[in-house]
Amino acid sequence: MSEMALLLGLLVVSYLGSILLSGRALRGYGLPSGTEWVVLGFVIGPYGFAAVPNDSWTGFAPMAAVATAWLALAMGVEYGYAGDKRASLRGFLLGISFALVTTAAVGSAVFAITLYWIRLPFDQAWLISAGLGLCSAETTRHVVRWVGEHGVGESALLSRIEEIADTDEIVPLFGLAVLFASLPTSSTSVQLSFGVWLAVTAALGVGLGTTCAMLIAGQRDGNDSWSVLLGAALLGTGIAWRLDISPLTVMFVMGIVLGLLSRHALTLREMLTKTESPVLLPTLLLGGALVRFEAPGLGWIIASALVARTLIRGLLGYLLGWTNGLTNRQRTLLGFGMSSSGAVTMLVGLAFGFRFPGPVGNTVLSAAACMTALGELLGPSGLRRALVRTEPPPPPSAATDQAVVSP
Amino acid sequence: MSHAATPSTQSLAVTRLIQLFGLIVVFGAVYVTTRITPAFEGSFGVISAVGFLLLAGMLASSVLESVGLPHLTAYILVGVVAGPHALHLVDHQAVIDLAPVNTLALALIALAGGAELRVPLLLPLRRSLSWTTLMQCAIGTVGASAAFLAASRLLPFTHGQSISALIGIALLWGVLAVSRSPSATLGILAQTRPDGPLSRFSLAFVMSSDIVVAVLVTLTITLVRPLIDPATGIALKDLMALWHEILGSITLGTTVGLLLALYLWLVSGQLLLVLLALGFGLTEGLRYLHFDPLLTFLTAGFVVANLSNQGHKLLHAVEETGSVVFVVFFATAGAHLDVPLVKQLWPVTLLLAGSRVFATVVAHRVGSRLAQDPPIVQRWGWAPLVSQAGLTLGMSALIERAFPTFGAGFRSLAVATVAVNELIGPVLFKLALDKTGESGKGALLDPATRHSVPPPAVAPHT
Repeated sequence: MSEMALLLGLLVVSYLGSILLSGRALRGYGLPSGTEWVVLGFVIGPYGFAAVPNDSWTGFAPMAAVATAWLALAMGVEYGYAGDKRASLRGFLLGISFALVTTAAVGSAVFAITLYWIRLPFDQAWLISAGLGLCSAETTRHVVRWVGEHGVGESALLSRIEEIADTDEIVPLFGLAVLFASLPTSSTSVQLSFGVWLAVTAALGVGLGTTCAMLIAGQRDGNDSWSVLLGAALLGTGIAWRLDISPLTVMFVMGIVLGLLSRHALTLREMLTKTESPVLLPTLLLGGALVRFEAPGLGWIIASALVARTLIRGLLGYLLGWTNGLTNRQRTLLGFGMSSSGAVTMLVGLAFGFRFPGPVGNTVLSAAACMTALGELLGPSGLRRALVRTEPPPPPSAATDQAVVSP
Repeated sequence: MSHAATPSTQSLAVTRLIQLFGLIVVFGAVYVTTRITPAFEGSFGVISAVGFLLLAGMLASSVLESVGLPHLTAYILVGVVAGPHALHLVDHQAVIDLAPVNTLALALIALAGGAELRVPLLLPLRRSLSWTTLMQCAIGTVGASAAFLAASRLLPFTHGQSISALIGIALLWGVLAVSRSPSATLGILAQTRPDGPLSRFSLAFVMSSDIVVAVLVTLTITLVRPLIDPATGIALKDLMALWHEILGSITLGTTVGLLLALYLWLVSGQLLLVLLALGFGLTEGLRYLHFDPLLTFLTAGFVVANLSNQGHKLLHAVEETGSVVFVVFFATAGAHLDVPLVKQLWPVTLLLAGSRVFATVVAHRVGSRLAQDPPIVQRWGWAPLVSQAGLTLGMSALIERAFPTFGAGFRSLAVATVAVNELIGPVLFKLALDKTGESGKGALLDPATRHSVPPPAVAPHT
């Protein structure tokens, strides 16, 4: 299969993604996290049918890098919103806490295994554990939304979980910035300190976001906004890769700034949300195809990450259920339900794969794919079963009644 | 009146200042980045190049619009300034890696060009188009060939060639000189939103002359081969191959056009993805089949616009996609410009570019008078015919492949001449539209008014 055939295949996947989003015909089909696309990528990749030569996949790395950055931009513009509503402070704090605790727990477990069991060099062990810690931080919002649309009515707990899912990505995306800034750069002629690189990451995102907001404010039509957004996203991503700083963070910050400063923020959110699915599905497919099970001790690393993540997420979910008055069984199910992962996990995995080609990148990306697959198995069903009939449907409010009867 | 105008003028000035600030920020950011990462290599370099060309091209076009410069020229200037021969913000490898954008852009240009060729537009102009095409092919080719022959002593790649070979090369140059730039024409029309005899003539002539020139170049290559290399003759199989290419392209283009019309009628969503698939996938398939992509896409666009009522949807989609693709396409063309070569060949380049403009004006005046065109077209109709861009460069590459002994030098000269024409052509065309008062009348390229077949009347609710 040639590169052109691969490109056409990706366009078809993207087409399917846009149909899934637009509500025509296929709405409701497919797994909530899109894991089937990761698996499909794996199946047609080198370990499956090897339908595409190795070089062809890697030739598409820049496209995947742009796609991941675009998704980070979309996340930034939407950040802090749970659906159409702003996330509450409590939800925001819970989201960050869940992500931080999970990152620390999974990172520690993987670090212990890689350093003391597999005996990898310290630098590698540190990078892999940090990468897997960041990969595991997410509760994917796609699963939460899917559960909301499939038999679980609106409830306070579901709204809380939605808030957690919509706010926790800040931890892995900022964590990437910290990690990338702390490492020596290979392509720059100047060596700056950790703090300066971190500041450069933030400044690039803030600068691009501010410039975009100013430019979009004076635009005549939507086409021009697309050009500005696309140009800025490509420019920011390209500069970040050149400087060895985190492109996902740059885009995420740019999105947040754009969401805060632009008077067209609502329109931008709608515009970018429409592109999410058509961009995400081919990215997941490419992610699955780029998985390489070649690193030493990979099985142990993946197993430790999955076990640690499932346990810590189980514990956090249990506690969340406990504070919300669920039964013991429901708390356990909620624990499994909180272990879903998807887009952010794969995005972080891909970012590692591109930034650290070789054993470190391969390990993190492979583990991220496995994490997404396990999350898909446990998450949606657990969450759905935990939340079904947790609360009686809210009685119709007086205001609603009045609205109904008033002419 | 003045009270109403003042805030608007102020607001425009503020917008322009913001855009200028944005342009400086973008140039500054990329300048600093490229200077502190001089050794950066790898496929990710192309990402920042595309982003930079898109953003800077768009901003520069808005800023330079205030001094009356067309958007296309601004895109090209950004490419030249940022390209590998000037500030080196976009390196040579990135320019090469951006080749797929050219493929996509040319497909979109041809599709849009075909869709603009509506029979109701062409029929009233058939006399004008016939005469002008004939005169441009005759006087334009002969004039440019004569100028080439006169300047041949200044051209190193013609030294040592026999007289007959020189005539053959000059004829190739002459045919190349009558090619136009559909993309530049569409770009200027999209920017100025004109309507009137000049813009209608420009659109119809430039798009239809594409087909004529594509055939003419292939035919000339076949016919002049014995002049350049006496050991060869005119091979019948070359003419058969040409016939096969033309017929195949038109047949496939018709099929694609009908399928596209069906898709637009039944589905019409996700057109961006469909155009990407057509632009990349079909072009690859056409290369394999040895069909001409330009002719195929022109035919497809023509079929959609004239055999269905979906033409406006197609044009709207192409415009949306093109708003991004064309900026990068022209900026890349600017970055591709070999500035040292232009510097080296500038006297002969100016001579040939000037003589081409002269021959074009004369040919147009003669043809237009014979066709009894309206005075505006007679006076200004040559202006849209000066631009040259990707199509001409593509044809020069074809000639380079066909005649490797002198092809490289020939192509370099073509690149240098196209550089001049692509910079001054859009300026002249925009000037003509402004002078004739057609700019801003807005009906010609407005998707909403481009139903090739009138939309069905909506029955009033009873």
